[in-house]
Amino acid sequence: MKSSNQQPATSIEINNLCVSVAGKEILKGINLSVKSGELHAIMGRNGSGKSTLSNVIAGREMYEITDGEILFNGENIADWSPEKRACEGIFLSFQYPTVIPGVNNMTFLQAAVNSVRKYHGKEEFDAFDFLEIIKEKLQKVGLDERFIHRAVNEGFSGGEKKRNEILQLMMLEPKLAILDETDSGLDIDALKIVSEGVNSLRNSERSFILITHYQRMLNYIQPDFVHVLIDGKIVKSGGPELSQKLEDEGYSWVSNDEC
Amino acid sequence: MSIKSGQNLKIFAENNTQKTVVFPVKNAKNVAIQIHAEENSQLDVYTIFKGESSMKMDFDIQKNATVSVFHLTKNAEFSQNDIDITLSGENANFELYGLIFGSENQHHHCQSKIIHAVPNCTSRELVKTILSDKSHCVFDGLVLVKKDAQKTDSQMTNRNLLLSDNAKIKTNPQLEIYADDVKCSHGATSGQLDSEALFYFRSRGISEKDALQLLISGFAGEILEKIKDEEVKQMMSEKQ
Repeated sequence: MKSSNQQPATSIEINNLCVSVAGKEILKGINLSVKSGELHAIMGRNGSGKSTLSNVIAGREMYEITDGEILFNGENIADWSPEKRACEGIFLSFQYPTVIPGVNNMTFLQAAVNSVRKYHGKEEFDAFDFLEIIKEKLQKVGLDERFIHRAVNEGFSGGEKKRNEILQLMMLEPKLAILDETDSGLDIDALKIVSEGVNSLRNSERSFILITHYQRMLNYIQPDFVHVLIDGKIVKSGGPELSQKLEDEGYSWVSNDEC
Repeated sequence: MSIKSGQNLKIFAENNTQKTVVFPVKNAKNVAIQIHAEENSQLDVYTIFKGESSMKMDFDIQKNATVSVFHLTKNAEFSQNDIDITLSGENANFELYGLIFGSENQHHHCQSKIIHAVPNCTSRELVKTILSDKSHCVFDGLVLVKKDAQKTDSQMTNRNLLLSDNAKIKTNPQLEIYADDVKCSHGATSGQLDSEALFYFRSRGISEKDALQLLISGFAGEILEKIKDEEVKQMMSEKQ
């Protein structure tokens, strides 16, 4: 329970969102409201539209919004570039983080953090200060220092890539973090480290949307709400108990309800 | 040393010496340079093309000598570099690193012919081009391994980054091998900037312009990190 009487502000509000990719309708009227400090889990099978939802919030250009709106802190973000969304505080942890040969991880992270700082009129970090800050965060995600001196995600294992995403999340300190199947490709130790990282970032100002196929990450990260996405629509919403039921009984009982 | 049109130069790297030469080639045409790397010498050669320039270089590399050539072109309207190399003494090594930035209506030619005449020599060639607007570039590379040049170890690679629909690259990497115990490879790739990488950077708050610059630097980085001369490295690393 919140100790304050004040209602928390709405972080992101999605109203009747319909999205097409290459002429095919993927999202068919999504409604979702996430308040500051809340963590919502969205569960669904492959092909239900989970990744489309996360990518469209982050501003990927190949997705066409055919109807509805996304409001972030009350503002319609339809015309915002991906970089503006990031600077305003939207962060997407990629399901498949991109490998970028030739660009040093540290150069990339410093450019990212400084771009966001500059946007907010804050002083940019020099390389020395930045290294000090990042060293501390590296420890938290269980990566050693040589990872930031390698090319972005190049030669990283699946788990290392995901930890690198959480490292970026820690460095950028967004208002809304979307974790797109962050649990996939993680062994149990990495899953614990990543979950602890996420839990340490939870506070009353920051909201999370955790997109997953499985219950397993939700054993470590307690959601406030769970939604079930089937065929581009949220067909059921509930508390944490919903994810357990899905784990035990599969998705069919939800879809049967619908039919 | 500044180079003038029609100039003929002979350079010697004497036995057991180490030498670096930097040739700024600005609006100089039909320049010819002959370079002899004598036994056990080490020579680094930088050619930096500006304006409209053309040059022919001939290298003779003797026993145990190592020659590294950096062919660099930035802000040049026209550049042509014909480089002929003969590895004439055993255990000689040759490296050619090329970095060519093309923009507007520029034309660039990079031609190389590496002759392995004797056994146990190595050659490495990596030429990268970054072409925008309507710029054109021709890469012509030949590695010729003569019959006696057993145990030759040679790699030739040309990589091209095309930043606009109107930029053009014509690439022709060739191998001609007459010996039967060699390790040789050659290849070329051409492509555009990775849109996934661009989105990844932008989704972290980096502007499209800065993201492009980072990705281009990343592509060029493999050559830049080979450049030992700090001044030259700085000049090639600066934004176009």
